[in-house]
Amino acid sequence: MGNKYIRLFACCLIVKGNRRATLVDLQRGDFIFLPLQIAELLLQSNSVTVAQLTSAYSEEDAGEISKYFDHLIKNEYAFYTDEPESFPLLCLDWKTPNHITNAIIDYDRNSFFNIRDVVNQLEQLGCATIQFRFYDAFDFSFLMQTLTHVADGIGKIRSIELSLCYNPLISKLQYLKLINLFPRVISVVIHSAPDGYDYKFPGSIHELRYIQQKITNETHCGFISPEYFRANKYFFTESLQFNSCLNRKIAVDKTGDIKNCPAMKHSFGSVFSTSLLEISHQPDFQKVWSMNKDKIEVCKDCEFRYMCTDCRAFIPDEYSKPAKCKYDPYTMSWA
Amino acid sequence: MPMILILTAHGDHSTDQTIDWLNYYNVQYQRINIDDLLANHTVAYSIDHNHSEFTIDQHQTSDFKVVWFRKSGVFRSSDLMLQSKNILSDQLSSFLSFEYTAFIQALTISFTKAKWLCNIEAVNSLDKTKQLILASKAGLDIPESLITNDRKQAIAFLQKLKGKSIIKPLAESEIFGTPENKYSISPKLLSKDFFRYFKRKKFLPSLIQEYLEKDIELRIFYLDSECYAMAIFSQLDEQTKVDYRNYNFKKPNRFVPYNLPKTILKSIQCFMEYAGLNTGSIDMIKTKSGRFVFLEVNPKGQYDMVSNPCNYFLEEKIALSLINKLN
Ligand code: SF4
Repeated sequence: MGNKYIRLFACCLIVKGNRRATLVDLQRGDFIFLPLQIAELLLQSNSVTVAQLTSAYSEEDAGEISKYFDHLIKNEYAFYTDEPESFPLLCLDWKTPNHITNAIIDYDRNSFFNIRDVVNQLEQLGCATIQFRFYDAFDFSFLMQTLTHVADGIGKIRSIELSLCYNPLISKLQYLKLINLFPRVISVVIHSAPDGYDYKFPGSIHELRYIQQKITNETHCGFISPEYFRANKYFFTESLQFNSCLNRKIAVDKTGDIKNCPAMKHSFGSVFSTSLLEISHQPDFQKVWSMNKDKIEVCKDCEFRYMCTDCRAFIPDEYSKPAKCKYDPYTMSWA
Repeated sequence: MPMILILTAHGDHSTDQTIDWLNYYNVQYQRINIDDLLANHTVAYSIDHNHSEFTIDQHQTSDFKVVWFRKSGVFRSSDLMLQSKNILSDQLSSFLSFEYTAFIQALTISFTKAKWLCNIEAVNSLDKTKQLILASKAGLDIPESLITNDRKQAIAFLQKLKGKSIIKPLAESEIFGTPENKYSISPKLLSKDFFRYFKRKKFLPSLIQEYLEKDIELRIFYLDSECYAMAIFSQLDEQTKVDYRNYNFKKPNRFVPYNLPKTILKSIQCFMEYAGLNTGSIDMIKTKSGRFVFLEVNPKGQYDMVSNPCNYFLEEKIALSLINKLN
C-alpha cells in the first residue's frame, strides 16, 4: 500500500483537541479517538503517499502508523486510493431558508399567554421544530387543543417534541391516540413519573419515555454529557459557524417573555406587547447565534466541540464554557 | 405575475425543502400534488373553434412560465382508485387509470410555451434501451446487453461474457407478494449455467447484461449542465455488492462526494442533450479496471440521497434553476 494514498471518507472528520483528536463519523453517527500525531498525518494525507508519510519515521514507528491505518481501513473510516483528487472534502457550509428553525414554548398552570397565537407567529417565521415543555400536569383536552393549533396551521412546523408532566388521568392509549392524530409529534417525554422507563407501543414505532426526575422549571437543562453528543452533518456544520443550541432559536418562557432560551435572564420583550418577528430581527437578539465553540474558553480546545450542545444560560461569564460541563480537555478527564 | 407550477406528490419531502427556498427567494409558485389533483383542485380544459384554454383553480396555463415535473404522484392510492378497487376484478380501476393517464397527457401538452424542468414528454419517451443507445452515441461506456426471449440466444450470450452476467427488469425494480411471501424483482447475478437448466425454450423478453466488477458506484445528479456526483462504496459489503439498494441499515454504505473526469462530464452533458433532459439522476459504475460505465438515468430520481450526504444543497440549486427559468 506504500505508493497509494490513504483518504478518510469525506463524512469522517478530524477534530483536534488539546491532547487528542476525535474522528467524527457524520454518516454513522459515531466517533472514535485518535492520537494527535495520527490526526496530523491524516490531515496531510491527500497530497502524499503512505510511503512518503511514514518516511521520516523509524521502522518501528512506521510499523505502528501502518497498524493504525489498517485499523481505520478495516473499520471503514478510510480507504486506499491511487487518485485522491477524485475524492474531494465534504463542503462544510451550513445554511437554511428559514429565519427561525426551532422554538421552545414553556407553560405551567400560571401561564396565560395564548399558545395558538405564538404558534401562528412561529409558522410565519418558518420555524420547523417546536418543543413544548409543560411543567404542570394538564388534562388531555388541553394537549389536544395545543396540537390542534399546530395542525391547523400552514404546515411549516414539521416536528413537535413534547415534555409533559405526569398525569395519572391520561392513559397510554390516549397518548397513542394523540401521536396518531398528530404525526408531527416525534417525541414524548413524561417527567415527574412514579417510575422511569421507555414504553414501546406494541405494533407501532412510537414510544413514550417516562422519567422520574421532577422538571418543575427551566433550570433542568444545559447538562453536558457524552450521551447528549450528536454526530451528524447538520449539527456538526451548524456548530462550526454558530451556537449549537441557540442559533435561530426563539423561546417563550412561562410568563410570556421572549428570549433566546427560557433559562436565560435577559428578556427582549413580552408576547403580550410585541411580536416574535420583530424581536427575532433585532441584532441584539441574534448576537448569541454566532457564538460558536471556537469562541468559548476551554471548549475551543475540546475534541468534542462540534458534537456537543452548548449552553449559554448557565455560565459564570460571557465566554465561559457551560457551567454544567464536567469535562476537562487538558487532562482528558470527566470530573 | 409569472409563476412556477410544481407537479409533485403528496408528502414529498424533497418538494417541501425546495419550496422553502422558493419562499426564501420570494417567488410565486403553485404546488399541485397529482395524487390529490382531482379532490383538491378545479381543472377545466375548454376547447372550441377558436382557441383552447386550460385552467387550474384560478390560473390559466399561460400564467405558468415554468413547470417543474418533480413526481408523478401515485394515482393508485388516490381516493377514487381506492373506492374502485376490487370492483369487477379491478376492471373498473384499470379503466380509471387509463382515463387519468389520458387526462395528464392533455394537461402536459397544454403547456406549450412554458419552460420545463424535467420535461414530461422527454421522460415518457425514454426507456432503458433507448438510454443505452443514446449514452453510447454520446461516448459513454455501457454494459454489453442482450434482450431476448430465447434460451439458445441467452446461453450464447452468457458464453461470450464468460459466465459473469446479471439479469434485471426492463422497466422498474419491484417488490410484491403478500406480507409473508415477498418477491423482490431487482438485479440478480446469474450462474454460468442458469439457462442450460432452464426448461422453457421461450420466455418473457429479459434484459441480460455483463456483470461489472465494481470499484465504486456513482450516483450523479444532473441539473442544467452541472453534475453533482457521489461515490457509493457498495463493494465493501457483501449485502450491497450487486445492488446497493439492498440497504444495510446497521452499517450504511459510505456515500461521499466525487469529482468526475472531464471527459465523462462532457459525455454526460451530450447524453442528456440527446435525451432532451435538463435534470436527472444518473447511475454509473466505475469498474476495478477503471471503466466508467453508464447504467441508467432516472429523470425524477431522488436528489435528496445525493444532496444530503454530500452537502450539495441541491434543494436550493433547484429553486435557483426554476427562478432562472422565470427570468
Ligand atoms: S468542554 Fe465544552 S465542548 Fe467540551 S464537553 Fe465541555 S462543554 Fe462540550
